[in-house]
Amino acid sequence: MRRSLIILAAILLAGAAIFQTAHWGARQICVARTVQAWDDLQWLRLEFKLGDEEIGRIRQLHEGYLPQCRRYCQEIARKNQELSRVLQADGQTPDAQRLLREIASIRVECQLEMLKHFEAVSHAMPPAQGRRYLGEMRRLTLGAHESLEQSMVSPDHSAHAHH
Amino acid sequence: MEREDEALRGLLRRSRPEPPLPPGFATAVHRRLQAGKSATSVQGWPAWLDALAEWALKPRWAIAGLAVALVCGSLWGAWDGMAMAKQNARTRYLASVAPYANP
Repeated sequence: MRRSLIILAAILLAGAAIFQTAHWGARQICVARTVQAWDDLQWLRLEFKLGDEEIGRIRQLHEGYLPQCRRYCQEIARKNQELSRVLQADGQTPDAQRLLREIASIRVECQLEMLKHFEAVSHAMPPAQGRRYLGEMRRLTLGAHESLEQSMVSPDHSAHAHH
Repeated sequence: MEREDEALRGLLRRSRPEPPLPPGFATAVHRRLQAGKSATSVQGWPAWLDALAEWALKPRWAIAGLAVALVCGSLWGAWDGMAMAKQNARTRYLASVAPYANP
């Protein structure tokens, strides 16, 4: 009986080890083969089943949009640094309020540009994929704020509820 | 020569008298055999375990089992890898176009 138990345990262990090794190896190979680390647009190709022609059109739009996006982000980062300096030195002064408004305004501009870019990209795809892409991008970019705000007005958050 | 051996064997058999069996000997033997059998079937699982170990050690089944583990592990790993690759690619795309996104 003892010998049988040892044999069965050894067989189970060997099976589990082979299963785990195969799982790990296949996963690594699949990740390495599917993702080209240099390509930002790989997700569009995979998720929306786009061909080279569509990806080529989208790449042009993407490369045109990136400098604008970077400019907005640099501007926001610069204003944020200024704001933390002002807040540390003087607290909530009119200067700090002005900076907060400016940052919010740049963010709005940035988001508007981003939505315009998403629409342009959706038009570069076949209609059905374009609609799905647009919905997904709106959900991922604007939905993040929505869910945060929803959580603040939910009944569980009585301290922050707006009546 | 063979006849002499036969005679010798007969002589030896006669020289070792077999005592008579006690009364109820056969019944007692049967009872003990029956008790032994039911003890084994109450414990039950060692016999089952031995049979399983013996079965699993047959090369045909051992190889088949290991092959199943290998194939299932690979398929599941490939499935996981595809999902992980897609997730990484999505995070990368979102980071490039939408700094406020929540991937």
